[in-house]
Amino acid sequence: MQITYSPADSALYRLNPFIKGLGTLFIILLFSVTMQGLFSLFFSLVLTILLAILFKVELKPILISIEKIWLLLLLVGIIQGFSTGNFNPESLLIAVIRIIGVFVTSGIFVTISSQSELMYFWEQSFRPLNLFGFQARELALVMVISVRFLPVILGELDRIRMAQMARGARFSHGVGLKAVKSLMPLLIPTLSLAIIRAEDLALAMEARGYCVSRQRTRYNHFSIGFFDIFVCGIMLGTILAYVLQIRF
Amino acid sequence: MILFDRVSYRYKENQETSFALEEVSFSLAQNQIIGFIGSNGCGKTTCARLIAGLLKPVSGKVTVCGIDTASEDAEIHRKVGIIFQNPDNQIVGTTVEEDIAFGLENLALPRDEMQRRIESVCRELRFEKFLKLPVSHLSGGQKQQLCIASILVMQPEWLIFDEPTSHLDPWARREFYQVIKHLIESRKVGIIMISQVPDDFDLFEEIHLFSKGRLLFTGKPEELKYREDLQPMFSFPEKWYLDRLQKEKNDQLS
Repeated sequence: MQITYSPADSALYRLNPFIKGLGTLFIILLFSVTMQGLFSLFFSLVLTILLAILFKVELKPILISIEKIWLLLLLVGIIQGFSTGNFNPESLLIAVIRIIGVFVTSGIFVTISSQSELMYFWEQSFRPLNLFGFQARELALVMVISVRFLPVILGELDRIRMAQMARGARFSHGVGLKAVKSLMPLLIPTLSLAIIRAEDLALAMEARGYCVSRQRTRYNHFSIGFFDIFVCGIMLGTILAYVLQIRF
Repeated sequence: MILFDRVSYRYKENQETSFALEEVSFSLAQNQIIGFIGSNGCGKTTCARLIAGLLKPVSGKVTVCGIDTASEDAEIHRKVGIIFQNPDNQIVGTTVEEDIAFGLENLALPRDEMQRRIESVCRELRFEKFLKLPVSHLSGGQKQQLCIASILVMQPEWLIFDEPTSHLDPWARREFYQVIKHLIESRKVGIIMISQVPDDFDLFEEIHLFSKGRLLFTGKPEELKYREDLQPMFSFPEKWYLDRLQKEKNDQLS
């Protein structure tokens, strides 16, 4: 089960894509940067999940995918657990909740944002680069297509892995450089397939009239509504409360 | 009308003398299904890409509806739509609607016109119910229909299919044939189909047989069926052998 756009009808889905992205960034910062305690972090995670359920976000693929990052959770948890010298289970749990929080929030953003919404978000984010001659819309398209093809490439990687294993390859032996070396038969064909796919896609886009320098119109138009302003208000309020809590 | 006038093409990575297409000349008239057949590497796909303006000939001239494809005229991409073998490699959007709109955004059309065209094509292909769906929810046959819809909204005069049925199951193949027949009746477009699948040959009204970058035969499938001299260059479908045997038997009897 892959995390991908899953349409539904709720206020969260109808948010302006830029506000959606900004909100995601805000929650990610809330999980990763702020100095919250274990209870506060756990509460934030539960609240994020409850809000997602309330706004009809399909959480199952996101929660199932947490399993895929268990090694990262374990490693970071152990390192954080021993960060003060003696083993501290609270530090371990804090680190694990922080990572799960960032993962779930990013997953929710991908689930509620269609390609045109993602593109709009990146385009608005890259807009200041226009001053330096970068074309924000083209850069945004590159980002979005990369995201769109990630599951396809992962599927390809899995197929190659199985094909290599059927011929007796083993990918999980050795440590350090040896481990990296054992992954080469997997990475090189995947990379070459990704390049072939990219060439095919470029050709297909050109055949559909895409040209970097040419003027394009937009099918989806996004406006700012009451709920967008409300979400911005909540974000500003939270930042203000956090700053006040640190100062006093 | 498509005109090939002594067209040669060589891929950059190949040796200077190794041509993917060599001195090929032919003309194609609209409102029919034309088949490009031949073994692997014979030049059929190169030919299709030259028609679509995706490749420029090394020598000679390709003209589509009066436009030289070597000129950087964007109109060529509107006149000729090409659908590649693997739908996954040409779908840009995450939802059906977004993918169909991609080509129209490139044509810089206003939103109302885009919506009108998308609705009309989806109605024609009975694809309305999929419009809001993520592309990942579609089957192989549906993804191919999406690729067809994405091209049809651009209202092309020519449609090129590069081995469209090679990855489809028999049922999806039958549906695809129905779509093709419908298109030729309703839209009066010219259809070029590159294929090596014998089932597809029954659809063709005109066949172009390629071998080693050269055009060996142009004509009706019925004529090709009885050209025994061309058999070493291309393995004819079994059904054609049977038809020929049947004809010989009938001739003897009569």
